[in-house]
Amino acid sequence: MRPNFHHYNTEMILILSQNGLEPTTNEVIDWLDYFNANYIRINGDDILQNARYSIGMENMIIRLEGVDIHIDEINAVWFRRWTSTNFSEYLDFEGDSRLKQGINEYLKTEYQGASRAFFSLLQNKFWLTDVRKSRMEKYNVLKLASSCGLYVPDTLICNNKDAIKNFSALHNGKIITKPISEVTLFPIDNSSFVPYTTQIEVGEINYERFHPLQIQEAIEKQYEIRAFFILGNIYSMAIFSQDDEKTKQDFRCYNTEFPNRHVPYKLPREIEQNITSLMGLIGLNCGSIDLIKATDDRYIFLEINPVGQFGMTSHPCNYNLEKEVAELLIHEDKR
Amino acid sequence: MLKTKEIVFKLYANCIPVRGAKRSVVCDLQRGDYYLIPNILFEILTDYKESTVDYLADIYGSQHKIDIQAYFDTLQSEGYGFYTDSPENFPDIDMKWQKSSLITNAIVDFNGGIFHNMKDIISQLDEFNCKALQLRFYNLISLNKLSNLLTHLKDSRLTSVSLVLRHDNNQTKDDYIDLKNQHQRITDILIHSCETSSLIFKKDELAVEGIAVIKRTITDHEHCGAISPKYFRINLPMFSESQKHNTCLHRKISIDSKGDIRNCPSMPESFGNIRDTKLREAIRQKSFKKYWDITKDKITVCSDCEFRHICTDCRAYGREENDIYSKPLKCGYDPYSLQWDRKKPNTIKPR
Ligand code: SF4
Ligand code: SF4
Repeated sequence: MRPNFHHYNTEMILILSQNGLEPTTNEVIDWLDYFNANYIRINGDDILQNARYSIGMENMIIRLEGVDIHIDEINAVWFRRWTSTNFSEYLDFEGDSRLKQGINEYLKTEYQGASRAFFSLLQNKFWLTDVRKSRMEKYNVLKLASSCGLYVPDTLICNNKDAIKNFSALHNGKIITKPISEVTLFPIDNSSFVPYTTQIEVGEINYERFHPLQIQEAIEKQYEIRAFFILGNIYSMAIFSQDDEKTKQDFRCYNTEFPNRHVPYKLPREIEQNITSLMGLIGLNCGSIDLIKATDDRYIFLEINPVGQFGMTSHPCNYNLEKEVAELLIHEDKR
Repeated sequence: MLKTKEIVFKLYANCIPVRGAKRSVVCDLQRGDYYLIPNILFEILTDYKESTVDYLADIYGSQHKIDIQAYFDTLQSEGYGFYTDSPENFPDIDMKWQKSSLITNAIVDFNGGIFHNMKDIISQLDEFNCKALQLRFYNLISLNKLSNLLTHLKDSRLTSVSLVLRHDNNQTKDDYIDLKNQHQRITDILIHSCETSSLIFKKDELAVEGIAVIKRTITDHEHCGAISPKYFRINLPMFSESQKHNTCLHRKISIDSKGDIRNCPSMPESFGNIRDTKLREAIRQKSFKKYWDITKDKITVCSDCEFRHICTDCRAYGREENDIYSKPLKCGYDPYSLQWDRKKPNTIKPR
């Protein structure tokens, strides 16, 4: 409760984000303004470049654009992302490129250490998406999902053709490959490249051994489902893309002429319960879950994205999730 | 015993049927178009939503079974709907309209003489978290001066700015394109008074840049309020706002060319002048929001029109003097005869 005398401000929402395109963050901030909430946004990039800060054994002060933030003022933390900075561009000097790379690697590790120290000071606050849970081991998540009663695609991580051959035989030759780790865009000139899901033919593999990759059984889908989970509530959306060859494998290959349909969806209670137990097991209170409704009517779990842009679910379905997140942060902040 | 699931036809939740007096439309809020359908199909899609073709054949007579199936197949192949055995998984879109902006859009008019302090106006609009701004110039303004004025946008919360400019014969096509490129927030420009200019021949090249060119001279705010299918806005924010609010005047604020603060520049009521009144104070006055919740459902004729949730309204120019619920004067559509009457808007007199 807000004290009815004015002395010291003890309510503060901390938003941890990154520079650059963050439409979802901006929209939540608009709602925080609308409700007159106190908040402060720190971008990981600012910590690197603009802010002055000191982290002692007891307390921490961050000075951002002349404003001091004391740790005790903060009650709720919303973790979005942290840094978009490309370290190889951060430190630039004339000299041996290997040395440069080495020093940059070292600085990056040190920066990550400093960030972790900062986060650990906040560990007793309410976190919407705990940063320590935000790094997902996709393979492990699949195992956990399966243990919660969700169907997952049969998956293999391997580095040789024989293994793929056997796996392929199990699934009538219908297999795909997709990244094992978090997908990162790599920008080159004005476009960016993103590795995405592709079908593979065993016959077309020319090598016996190769870099480790992840293979999964291909699942014939009726439609894809994206479910946004927030503190036990689930807001789902169906994405119809199957009837369009161009988008058959992955809806990230956008097709603007005949867009995929994005419509509200209600998952069966049982699936929602499975998702809730999975999130509990991982320790996440917020995140986007990708599923497929297979042609055989099964719901297949694919992955969790703990810090996704939920605008892509919120807007087409009119869920107003940005408002809900703002209200939730305010509520937790005032507890 | 397990019940075998029945296949039914369903419109995608963002393809919403709206019934008019004589026909209906399916408003495709995702693709931004509409599709005309007969009222009988509207009834099938709403009153008998999620019924099987067999059930519908029972209702309408088995001789119509083929037609009903054909309706559904067409809607499916045109991309408006799909067949499913689990319609219960596909809820409707909640039509609640919620925005974090106390004012969502603003108009500022310029007509020589008084030159508004845009820096101050923009910072006042920021207090409302206003997102869209239209600047309308009836007299000449040099692109230089305009560009200076637009620099105030740089740190504002406005995300889109639309311009109405009087053509200056010294300006070329590229000058306008440069202006637009220089200021990222400009979404579109309308250049008027191009009667004697060769700019009109560059119409198509400019159109792809979001710049429209017209011969006619726009002398004042009375040009506003035209209704035509080309101004329909077919999207979810508009459709949901139209359920409970006016689609032009809700959360709008304007400053006319004399500095008077109004809901829209064409409205008779003024709420003070920008020189001595804060926008915040203006909207607090009781009757500022008088028109905000006049929906199309409350407006004569429009309430029977199938386009009522995609058509922007106009309350400044109405058919009947002193009737705030009368149909927009500059709409030539008659939902009873389905005819568009293209009478020149400037031959009709404002309220
Ligand atoms: S009410 Fe009419 S005149 Fe006023 S801004 Fe809207 S359309 Fe234009
Ligand atoms: S009758 Fe009303 S709703 Fe229909 S087009 Fe005209 S102004 Fe719009």
